[in-house]
Amino acid sequence: MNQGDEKTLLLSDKHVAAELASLMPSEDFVHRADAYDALEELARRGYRAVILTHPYPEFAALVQAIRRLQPAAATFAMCSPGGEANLRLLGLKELDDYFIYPPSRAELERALHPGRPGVPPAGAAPERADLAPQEIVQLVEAANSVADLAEQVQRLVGKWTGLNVRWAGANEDPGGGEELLLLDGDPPSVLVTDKPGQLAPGLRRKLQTLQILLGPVAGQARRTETLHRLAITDYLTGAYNRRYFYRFTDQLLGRAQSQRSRVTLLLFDIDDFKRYNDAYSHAAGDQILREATALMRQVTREHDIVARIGGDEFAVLFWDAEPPRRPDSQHPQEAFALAGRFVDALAKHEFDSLGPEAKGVLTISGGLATFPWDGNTCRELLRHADGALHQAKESGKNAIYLVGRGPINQALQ
Amino acid sequence: MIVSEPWFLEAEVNPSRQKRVVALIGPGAHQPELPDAVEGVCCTSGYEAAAELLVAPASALLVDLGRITRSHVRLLDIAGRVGVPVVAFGAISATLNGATLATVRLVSAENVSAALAEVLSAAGVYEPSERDLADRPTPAGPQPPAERLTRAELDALIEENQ
Repeated sequence: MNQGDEKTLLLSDKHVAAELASLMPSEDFVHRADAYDALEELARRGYRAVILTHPYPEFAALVQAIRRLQPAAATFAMCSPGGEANLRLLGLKELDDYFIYPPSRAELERALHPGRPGVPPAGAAPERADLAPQEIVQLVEAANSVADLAEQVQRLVGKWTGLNVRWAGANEDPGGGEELLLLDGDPPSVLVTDKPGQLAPGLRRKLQTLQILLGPVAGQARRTETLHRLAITDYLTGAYNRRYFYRFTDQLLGRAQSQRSRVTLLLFDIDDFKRYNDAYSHAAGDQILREATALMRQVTREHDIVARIGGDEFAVLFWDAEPPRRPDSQHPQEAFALAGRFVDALAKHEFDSLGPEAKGVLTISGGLATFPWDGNTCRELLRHADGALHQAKESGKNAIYLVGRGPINQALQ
Repeated sequence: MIVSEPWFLEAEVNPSRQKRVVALIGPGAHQPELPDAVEGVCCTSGYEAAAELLVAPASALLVDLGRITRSHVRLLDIAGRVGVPVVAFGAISATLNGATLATVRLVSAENVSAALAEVLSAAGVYEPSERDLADRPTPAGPQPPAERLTRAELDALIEENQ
C-alpha cells in the first residue's frame, strides 16, 4: 500500500469538513474545497476513499475524473436531504454509495472501514439531525426576501437553542460570542449568540444541516428580491415605476382613510425637457432624469415614494408614517417644505451633462394635491395635481402650485 | 490505485515526447485530424481533461475555449504546470483574461489540425512527411499570426471578442 492509502480525501466546504472530522476524529481526512485541487491531490498519492459533496458543477464528469485517477478508491457522494432525488437521477455507476448529510458515525464507519470489528451493522438506527418538514416549509416560504429569511432563521434557531441569537456583520468582532450560521450576501452576515459553548452536539449537527439548506434557499431569496425590484422600479432612474405607484397609492389611501393620516402628492415635470434632449442628446436627457431622481431622494424622507410615471414626469408621495390627522389640522406644511427644498436643490445642482454654466437653468413645474382635501383616490389626486401643474406652466413655469391656492410660496405665507 | 510516483513528479519524463493529445471539445464537435501515430483522448469536461493530463503524459492539450467556464480556468493552469502545451480555439469568454491565456496558442477552428501538427512536430513526436505537407489544405481567409501574440495584442483580441 502506498503512502496516503489510509487517507480519505474529502471534497467539500469547510463546514462539512469540520463536521466529518468531529464525527470521526481518528480518521485521516485530507480536505480540499476546490475540485481541481482535489484532482491534483488524487494524482499525487493513493487514497482509500473519496467523499465529495453534491452538487459540484458537472458532478458526473467530476466523479468520472476522480475514478480515472483513483480507480480502486471507494467513492462516495454526500448530499442534502433535498438533493437526494437529483443525485439518484444522475444514476452514477461510478459511485460506491452516497450519504445524506449529515451522515452518522456508524454510516461513515461502515463505508470507510467495512468489516472492521465494532462497526455497527447496516440497518442500525441512523443518527440524523434533519429539520422537521414544517421547518423546511417555513424556510422556503420565507424566501421572498433575504430579510424575511434571516428573520425566520433567527426565530427557528432561537426556538431550538433557547438562546438569544442575533444577526451581525460577518466582519464584525463577535466579542466573545459564538458564530452559529453564515448567511452569504452582500454583505454576508453571521448568526451569533452571546453565550458560547451552550449547544449540545446534536443541536450543532442540526445547525450544520440548516447551514447547508440555507445556501440554496438564500439564493432563491436573492433571486426573488431581484425580480421584485425589477418589477416595481424604473430601469432608467431607479425610481419606482408607474404600476407600483398606482398600486401603492391606492393601498396607502385605504390606510390613510382608516387611520385619518395625511397623504400629499406632488406631480412635476422638467420644464422644456425636450429642448435639453434635442440640444444635448438623449443620453444627456437620461442623465438629467437620473440626477433629478437622486436629488429628489435626497430631500425626501426614507418612507416617501418617488416614482417616474412618464417620460420626464414624476410623482412623489409624501405621507405621515406615524401621527394621525387631527380634526383641526391644516395642509401638510412639511410636505410643502420638502417640495420647496427640492426646487432649491435643483437650482443649486450642477448637472454633469449640461456643464457648470447651466447651473440653475433647469427648472420644474409641479402641482400638489392632498388627501383628503383634494381627492380620495389615486386618480382623483393625480387629476387635481395635474390641474395645478398646468396652472404652474401657464403662469410661466418654474413653480409648484397647490390645488386651488396658487404658488406654494404664496400659499405658505 | 496509483502504484508509483505520478508521472509529472518523475524527473526523467519529458511530456512533450509522449504521443498523446488530450482534447476538451463540446459533444458532437468536429474532432481534429491527428497523425496516425498520435493517440487522441476526447473529453467533454475540464475535470476529465485534467484527470487525463494528470494520469499520464500528453504532448498537447487541445481546448475549445467555450468549455472553459469560470469553474474550469484551473485546467489551463494545470496544463502549464505539467508542461503540456495548450492549443485553443473558439470564442473567448469574459472568464478568460490575458494572464490566463498568456501561454495558450490561440488558433481559429480551421487551423487546429495544422497548429497541432506544428506543436507535435516541435516536440519531436511527429515528423510531417512531404506528402503530408503537400496534402495539407491551404486554409481560406485570414491566417493566425505565426508568432506568439504579445500581451497587448492578446488583451486587444480578448476585448474584441467580448
